Amino acid sequence: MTAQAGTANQDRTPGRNAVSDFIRRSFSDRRTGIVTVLALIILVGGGVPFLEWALFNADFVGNGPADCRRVGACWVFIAQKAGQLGYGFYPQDLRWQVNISMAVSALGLVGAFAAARRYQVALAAAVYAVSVVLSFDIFGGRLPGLTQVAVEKWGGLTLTLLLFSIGVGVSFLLGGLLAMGRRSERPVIRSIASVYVEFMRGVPLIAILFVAVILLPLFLPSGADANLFLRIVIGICLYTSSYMAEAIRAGLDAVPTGSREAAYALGLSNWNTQKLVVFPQALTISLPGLINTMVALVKDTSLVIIVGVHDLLGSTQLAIGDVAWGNVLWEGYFFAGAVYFLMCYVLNCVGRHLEAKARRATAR
Amino acid sequence: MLAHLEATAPKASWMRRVLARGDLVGSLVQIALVAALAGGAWYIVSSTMANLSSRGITTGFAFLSRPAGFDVAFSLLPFTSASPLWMALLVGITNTLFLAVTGMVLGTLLAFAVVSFRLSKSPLASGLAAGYIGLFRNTPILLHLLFWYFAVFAAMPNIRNGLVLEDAIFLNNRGLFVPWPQLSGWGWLIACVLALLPIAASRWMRRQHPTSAFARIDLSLLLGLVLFVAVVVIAATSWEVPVRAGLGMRGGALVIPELMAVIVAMCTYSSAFIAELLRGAIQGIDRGQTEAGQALGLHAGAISRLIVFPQAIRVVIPPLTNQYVNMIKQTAIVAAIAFPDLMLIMGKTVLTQTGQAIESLMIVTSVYLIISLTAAGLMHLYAAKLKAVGQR
Amino acid sequence: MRYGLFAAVVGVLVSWNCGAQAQATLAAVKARGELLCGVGENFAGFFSPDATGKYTGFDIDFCHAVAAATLGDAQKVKFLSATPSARFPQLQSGQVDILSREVTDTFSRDTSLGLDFPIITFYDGHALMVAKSLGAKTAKDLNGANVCTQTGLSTEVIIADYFKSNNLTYKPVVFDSRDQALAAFEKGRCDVFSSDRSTLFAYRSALSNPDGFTVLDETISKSLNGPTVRHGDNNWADIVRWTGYVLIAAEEFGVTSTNVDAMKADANAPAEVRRMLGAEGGFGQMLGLSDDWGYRIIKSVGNYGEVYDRNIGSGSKVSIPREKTLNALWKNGGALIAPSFQ
Repeated sequence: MTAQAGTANQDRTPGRNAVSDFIRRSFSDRRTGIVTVLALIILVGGGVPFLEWALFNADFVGNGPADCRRVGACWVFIAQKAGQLGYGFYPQDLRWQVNISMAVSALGLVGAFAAARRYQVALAAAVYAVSVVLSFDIFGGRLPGLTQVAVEKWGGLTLTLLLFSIGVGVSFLLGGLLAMGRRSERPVIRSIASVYVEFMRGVPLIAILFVAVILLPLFLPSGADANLFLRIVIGICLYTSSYMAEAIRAGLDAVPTGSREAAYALGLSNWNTQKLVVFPQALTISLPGLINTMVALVKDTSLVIIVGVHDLLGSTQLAIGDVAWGNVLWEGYFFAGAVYFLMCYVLNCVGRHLEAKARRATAR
Repeated sequence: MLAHLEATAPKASWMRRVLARGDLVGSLVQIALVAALAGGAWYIVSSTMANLSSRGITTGFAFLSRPAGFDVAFSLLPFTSASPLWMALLVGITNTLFLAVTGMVLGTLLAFAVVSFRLSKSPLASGLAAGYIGLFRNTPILLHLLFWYFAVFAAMPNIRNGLVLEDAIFLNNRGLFVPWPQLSGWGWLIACVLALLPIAASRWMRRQHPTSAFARIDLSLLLGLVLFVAVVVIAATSWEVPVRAGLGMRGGALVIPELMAVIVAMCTYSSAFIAELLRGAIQGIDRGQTEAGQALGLHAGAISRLIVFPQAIRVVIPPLTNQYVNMIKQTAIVAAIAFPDLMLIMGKTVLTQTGQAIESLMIVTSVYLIISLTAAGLMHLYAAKLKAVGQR
Repeated sequence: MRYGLFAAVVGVLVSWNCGAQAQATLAAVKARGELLCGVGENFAGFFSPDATGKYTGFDIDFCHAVAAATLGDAQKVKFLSATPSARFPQLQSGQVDILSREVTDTFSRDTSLGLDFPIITFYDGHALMVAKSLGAKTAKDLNGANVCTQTGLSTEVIIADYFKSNNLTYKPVVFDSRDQALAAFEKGRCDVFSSDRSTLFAYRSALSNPDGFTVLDETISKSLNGPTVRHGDNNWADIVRWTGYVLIAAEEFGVTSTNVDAMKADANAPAEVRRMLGAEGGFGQMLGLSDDWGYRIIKSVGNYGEVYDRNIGSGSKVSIPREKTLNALWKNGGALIAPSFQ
């Protein structure tokens, strides 16, 4: 971070001595000087021991607990537990099923996105729906030729990704409907959508997950396959869709009425006006909100461990519980944190890229 | 939801709006939708009730008057295993509110520190704060909670090898034990009143002498705190010092590790979000305002306190409200580390001990909903008031 | 378009629910061709997957026995995970036909939750596990202790009652999962971990340093555990109850999975055995089953003694002693006894 600030500084004053400029800015007045010193103390006091632990004294290569000297981080642990952190207890020789499932859902997301950009809303929804069902079935090995794997064995990063890829699209579609409902001229539809959104936003996700896991079976016919994973996905989608709805609604609200009127004047039907004029504009405006919601979704998926599903965080929790490795809590949490950070960071970057692109398109 | 609509408009006009909104088909569709929803809800409720009663499952909320039978680890209210279950519900609610309020206050205070780094001219401090904010915004809070609990507070040395300060303060894997003053109810009351005095005075001073030191909210808060501590120290007849008893400690006040972990996790995590909101609000204030302040000869502190801050507060209230409501909901994650909040007590312990799953979860969701909506409503009122003041 | 979608969602919801009509469990199981059995968390001896992913254990075998009796094939069982919080709703709502996860029978569960406990298959009682370094010899030494338990089990109430009646103070530390509670206990967050005595030994063996911990001699409660079914379906409760009695009676009569064919064919076998195995009497029909239901149970899982030994007794890794406990046959001073097949 400091390096970034430094380079930004350099760009602004080419030819100058960056270091002396950096120092001058750091101590430009009394207040700034105090703050700089404080920051230095925090950086050195926290950073040096951390680097010693994470890099200089750490053990990177080895095959077991014995290969860690325990003076620094034991990254051997992460390397040895990589399979569990990635796939949970999914049988090793069947993990290719998970990989295919991941590829299918990635392709589905990309395909749906590409179709949506060409205003093929129905096609996008269809592509996405097919990819979700397919990747879910492949993950569970339900298709002919694959081997079935019980939900209890799913886990790790791939489960987090599966939850995300299902949650993001379903809640986006649901959220779009709700946003339209909240803006509907019909008071009944509007109030149903409003009550739903306000309810979901007023209750913690954990409570929703509890309801989904414990009470959903009460409403299902007896003997229905009340797959734990499915119940959790339903809970997450119901919850996230209300946030998606609010983000999309903010965008819809910001679309000038003139655009709509112009579209009607051109003779576009109501549906085509929405599809070709209103939604593209609204989505561009609500992109930051949508990205925020998606980042929140990535983070929220970790709550499923409270209802007994071992996603990335849950698998980490299980892996660090392995007594053979001794105390590897810091390593485990650090690794899981880094992976979550990476996922959210990538999402943010994609969001920023899309935003910039949209801004260029409107500027043109 | 009908009641909601009726509250905003007279009944006749509401009916007219439904029917006169143009087409008959649309109206019919709406009526059909309401009928279908109501019918579906009625069907689900009635069939579930029928199912439950046919199997001899007790329904209703009468179970709340049964004795709890279990103990809770942390309670602000008197609670034993003989207390009724509705008392357990109250304990859960107060614990949740306690967590939320503590998190809000500490998180906001920390956020001020973070944002002062973030907006400082020092690239080092600004970068550090940006890194801090980025770190917390992109990782799940549950991870932080588990880290603080399992890797830090629960990993403390045991009670025999724990940290001891002056034979009075103990920190170990059972929690933090501190001496507690023995004070009558009147003593506490006087201390609280005296603590609030400077804060009230500062409000009055701000109108009369805005540049006086007594008008500064930060100084008056500090003064209030000092007064509070002074009264408690002077008035306390004695201090109850924790001592080893049996396998645990007796006397004094105890902060259990679960609580410490939640507070640290919540306040560090939320401070990053609040700091971002504050930064946006402060940076949104026109630079000209600051320059005008400088032209008037105000120093930097006075400018931020008198010019930037009051305006920024007005901008930041709506998103901050959202953040605070989110924090109330966020407290529910403590169920993962066994802190007895509303979620754990009602949604887990009571649910499983009584088996009244539907009722327990109904209570949990409606209490969260009521708390969130009330908090949002109060904040909106406050925002409206601020706005009115600003327009005057 | 959007109306259509809304309507579709509502329609799906309603039609979904129409399927949820109460139906006699036996008829439903036969129509489905599969028994839905709710089982607990992974727990060595009672319920755990083996290397090939196949579930084995004491609780598992009971469901196999019920499947053998009702469907004629012990393998026609689908095991569903039933966590402490979700297990009763799952049974109440018909997601499972039977809970076979050592649920402890209590008054309030039996009377107000719509549950029935047809038979007790495993007698147990709560005990306390402590670190040896604590120096506690009896439960009376535990004043001021922190106690780790798992939420959703009767343990929380048992501990509260016990410490209160003995005038001891304690602090509960409640965890959502057993693994978390055990991990916290092992790390020293608590002084005491409490659970059923038999299970405590299994838990202790899973700790990193089992020798550092000991289980105190006191048994502080009684736990009567057994399969659980919905209240109100008496026929189904009868089937489950008598499946258990067949297991017990077969051990008493010396009928095992290896000699059951010979016993059934032996015209000189005791009349009760012949009635139990369906060689005479037509008892199966009284339950709505075919006559050889008892034979099929023994043929597929063996008698109670065999099930016990294979999963939790001397023939297993868990090795919970059976002699001189309530889990011995009545002839040997235990509490397991079956009514006569008359």
